[in-house]
Amino acid sequence: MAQDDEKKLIERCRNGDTAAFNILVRRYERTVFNTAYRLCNSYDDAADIAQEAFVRAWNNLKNFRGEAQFSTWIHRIVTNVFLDDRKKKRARPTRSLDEDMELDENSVQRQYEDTSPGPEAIAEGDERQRILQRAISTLPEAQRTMIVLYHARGLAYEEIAEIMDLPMGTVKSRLNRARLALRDRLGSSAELFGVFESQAG
Amino acid sequence: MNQERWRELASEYIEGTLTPPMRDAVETHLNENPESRAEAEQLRGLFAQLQQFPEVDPPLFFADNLLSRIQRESQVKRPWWSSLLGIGRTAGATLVLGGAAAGIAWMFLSPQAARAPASGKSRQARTALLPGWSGADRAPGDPAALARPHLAVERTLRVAAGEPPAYDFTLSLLNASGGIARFRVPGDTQPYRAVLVKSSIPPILRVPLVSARDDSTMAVRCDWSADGEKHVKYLLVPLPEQEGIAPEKLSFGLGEMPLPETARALVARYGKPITLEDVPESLRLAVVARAETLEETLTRHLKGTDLRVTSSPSGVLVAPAR
Repeated sequence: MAQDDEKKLIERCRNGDTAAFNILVRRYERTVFNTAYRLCNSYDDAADIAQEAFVRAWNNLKNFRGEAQFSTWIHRIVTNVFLDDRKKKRARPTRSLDEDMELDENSVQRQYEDTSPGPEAIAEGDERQRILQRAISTLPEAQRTMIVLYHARGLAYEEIAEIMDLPMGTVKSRLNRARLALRDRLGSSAELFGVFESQAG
Repeated sequence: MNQERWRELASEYIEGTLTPPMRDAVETHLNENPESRAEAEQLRGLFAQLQQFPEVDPPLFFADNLLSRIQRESQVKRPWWSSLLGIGRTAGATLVLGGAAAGIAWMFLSPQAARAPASGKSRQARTALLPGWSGADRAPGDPAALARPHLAVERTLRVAAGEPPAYDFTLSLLNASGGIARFRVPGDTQPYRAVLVKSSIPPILRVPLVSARDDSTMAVRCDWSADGEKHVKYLLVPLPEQEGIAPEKLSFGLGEMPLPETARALVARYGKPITLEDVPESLRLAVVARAETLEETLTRHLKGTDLRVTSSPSGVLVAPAR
């Protein structure tokens, strides 16, 4: 994707061109959604967080001067939306409409269960991935963000430093602590360790 | 080197970014400390595992819903609209206008989803308007007539060159300013969510026929809410080749099952769509049909419940008596 092309799109967005923003959304929806999904470990929450991130991006495009890549900027927004969301939920624990509906659907899902694996079953079929995702979601938000941005999204230290507004040395040391914390949380999972040992061996 | 120092350097060691003297010091420590060595191996495995996270697909209407919201919010933020057009400044009017604009934008931004194929290579066949009424031909107790929020779902068979045949479920919200619908489609463990805006071009849920649970029926559950009300709707529809295949009257027996499952089995036998609206989750039925039509069977078995069976050429509706 040419940088010029993206700059032109952003310029059009600044002038209120929703068609241009639609192109940007379709270009980045997958990456933004997946970042949100790995951060919150909930498909529905991820949809809300990703949508809110794009809305914030649209409302703040006038402040986007293009010093950073759009992808870095949108990652920064989605991370902030996630952190804000957690802060809000901690301050005011509530059950969302969707959560209620989720509970309702448990039995119904069983009724319509298909023997063929669905996309999520395929995507999450690996038990190790599930255990790992669960362990990640027990990490403090700041550590979780580090793990997701670096490992799940494959961002560079420099990009994470920009997203989190931290010096690169701090990013590295925090990421190291996050990995060790994750490893410690997995400690009780002997099976998983076995896999790791055999992989490493 | 102690354990604490090793842990500080763990990531850099595994990533291979330590200076040679530092790397040697770490390796000496690892050789002398089995616990640290095991930790290093586990971290290495963890790194490998973390890189393998699979991607998931965003919800079906993600971009469309987002753009609709942006359009809607943009309209609400602009008071000059109302003065320019000479309309009132009530929230309702602004919302309707915003919804219409969002719908129009949606149509232009997603032409493939909103417009029927022209002709030639593809064709679109309208097969039914669920849940069994439309326009002037309203069924008794029709929520549309009673001014209750109502989600109308229109089913269309879509056959296009190069694409698997699918049912398009067109979603229209009536008697409410806005709402959310969430769909469970067999074979997909993730729900699809659509934001519904009154007066907008209605979104379409496109479900390939191969998603059907068996060879004859497609079952979609829809949880929807609007203006503070929550509802559940089941769309149970036969596949095209099965539609209307059975004779009018049938005799058979079915074991006891929850109502949605029973209804699905009835759709498979009669080849006729059934829509269930807000049926009790706990209700189970064992059906014995005695040379009866679908409507007769359902009416007889639901006698004594709060549910009412309504028939139309496009299918059968089972809903609480209002």
